[in-house]
Amino acid sequence: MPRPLSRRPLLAAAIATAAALLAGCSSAGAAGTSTSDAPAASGGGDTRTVASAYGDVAVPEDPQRVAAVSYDTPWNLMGLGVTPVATLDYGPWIDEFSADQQAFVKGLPTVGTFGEINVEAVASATPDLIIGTVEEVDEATYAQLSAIAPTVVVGGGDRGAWQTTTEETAKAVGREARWKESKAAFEQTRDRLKTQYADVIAGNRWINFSLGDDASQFSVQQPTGATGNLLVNEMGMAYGPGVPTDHDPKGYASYPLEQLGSVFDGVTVALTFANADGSPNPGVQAVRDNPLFQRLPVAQSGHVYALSSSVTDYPSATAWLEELEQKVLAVL
Amino acid sequence: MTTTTATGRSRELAVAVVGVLVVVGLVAASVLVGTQPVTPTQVWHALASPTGTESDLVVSGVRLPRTLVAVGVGAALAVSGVLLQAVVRNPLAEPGLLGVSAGAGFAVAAGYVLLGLTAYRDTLWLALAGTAVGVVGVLGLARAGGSASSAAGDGPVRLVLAGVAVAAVLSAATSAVSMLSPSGFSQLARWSAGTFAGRDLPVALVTLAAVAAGVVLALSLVPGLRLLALGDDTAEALGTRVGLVRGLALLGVVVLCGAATAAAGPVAFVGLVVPQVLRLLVGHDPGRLLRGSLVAGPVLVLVADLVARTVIAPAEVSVGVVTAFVGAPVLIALALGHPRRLR
Repeated sequence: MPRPLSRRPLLAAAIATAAALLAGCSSAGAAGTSTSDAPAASGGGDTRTVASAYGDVAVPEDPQRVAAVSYDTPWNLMGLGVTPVATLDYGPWIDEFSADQQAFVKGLPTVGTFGEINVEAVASATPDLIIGTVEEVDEATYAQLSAIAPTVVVGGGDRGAWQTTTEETAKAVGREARWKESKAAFEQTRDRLKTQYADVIAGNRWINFSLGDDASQFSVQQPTGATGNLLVNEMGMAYGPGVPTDHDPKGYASYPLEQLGSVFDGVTVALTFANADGSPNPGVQAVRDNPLFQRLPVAQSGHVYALSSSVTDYPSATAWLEELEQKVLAVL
Repeated sequence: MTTTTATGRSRELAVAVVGVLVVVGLVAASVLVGTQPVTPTQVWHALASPTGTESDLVVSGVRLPRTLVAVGVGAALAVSGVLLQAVVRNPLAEPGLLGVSAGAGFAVAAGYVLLGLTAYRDTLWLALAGTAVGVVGVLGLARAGGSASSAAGDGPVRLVLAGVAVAAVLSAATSAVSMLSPSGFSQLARWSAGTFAGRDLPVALVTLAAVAAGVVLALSLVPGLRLLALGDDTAEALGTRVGLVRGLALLGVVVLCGAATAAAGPVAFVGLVVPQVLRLLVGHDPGRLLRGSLVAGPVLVLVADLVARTVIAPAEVSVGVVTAFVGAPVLIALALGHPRRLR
């Protein structure tokens, strides 16, 4: 019978190899941090300090190569007239965006997918400024990105607080003037609609609903979400009395379909979402086709409207308001 | 052993009656429990003379289909567990563990994403085909591994290993396929942990019909399964067509698991827990186990569904998560505690 290989020399060899590897890794790590202590600054240029979720950051005065590492960032930059040098890979999800948005990011280098930023890809894009949101960039990733370029992480409040996140983004890229213009244009439209359709707004109880977390549920957009924020906080529309008021920072709440009657109680106008190209969203349509929805007074009166604009910043909010006027306010 | 004495038979009948009453009670509870309050009078109104009121629609459109699917899936998975364990002579065999449900899950996901098939009718056929592929794949892999060497462990454990491997590959493939379709992604994610929600009455009734067909087939195989338990040689000597019995039993597994997975997604451990508990109570006779499964399977699944939708109401836990909480400790106890029983 052959003698089994003696275990002790093998074990010693394994431990020695592991120790060598660990020593090698830690020294490489130490070298890494020591040479990249300061964020890689682009050639010359002044900097200014901007507040960010993880502390103040010194950003270039006039950034030329901005990397957008979070989901909504490219559209915020689009509204400010800034073209990023890299974005996330939206994969098949790109079809959910408008034709303009798809054209805006077409052909740009990608730096990972939602939830998984590829730091090496960000580095190879050689940005002089990186922008992301606090929901998607945690502190560990922030530290890695900061080693490549100044990184501004916006957000920190409710998911739908696009007014503040776009302001922070505008400050980071030095386009505050443009941001203020789009804000002024939005406020002009908003105030005009509030005056012109004051009766319609005050005389109805509203709701913004969508598909739920699964096939047996529906969801309601809360004021903590982007569209709910616009409806309730900016336009002053009142939700129906049956809509629960405990608001979730994620911006919406999902309920079983059997609660349609009680949640929609008193609602006279229901708003929902269509796809970016105007076609009906299948999940939303499934909710609308459900007998429990069809027997609701608001469905029977035909006051259910699907809007295809999505709200991420002032320009898109203005577009949403214009769609609201055309499809809903002027019709009611 | 079959009991032929009068007292034995009447006791069995009494137990059966109690079991059916428990199932009826749980069905009533399942229809009455939910986020929207519904009274027994309203339930009666919905069933006997519906006029389209909100509670009518809640009962007939939401609660009742869900309950019927739960009963069907519970019976289907428990019975197919008994069949599978008899065919492979392995007490650890069950559709979820053996990757059979994963086969159905992959077929449904692929059909949805690649061919756009979402109607329940199509889903049912895809699930049946996927289940058949899963069964063939796992049994083939286990047999191939067995003939090569016995280094991978005993027969029963080798079968479970093959099942886990097949299930892992198929669920990875399911995830990969679902990433191709944004609209399918969230729906499939929810479905693949098992849920009875979102089914309407026609779907529930088709599920029950398919399950009934599988159960009838299973019950007709009881004499053959009894002889199969004596060993292949003895059974053949006594005139049993061993290959035919095995083949029909596996066909029953395909029909039952396919129907269950098409309706509710993969729900694991029911086919393991129910036969094991029944063996402790009524012994090893396949006839008793099958009849007992028709009651115990729905009981387990109805209780799991009630827990799933009340524990974090109004949100829901997947039914598969609840059955896993119950089933995983049972599996561990079986694998560790009674090695002799596994031979």
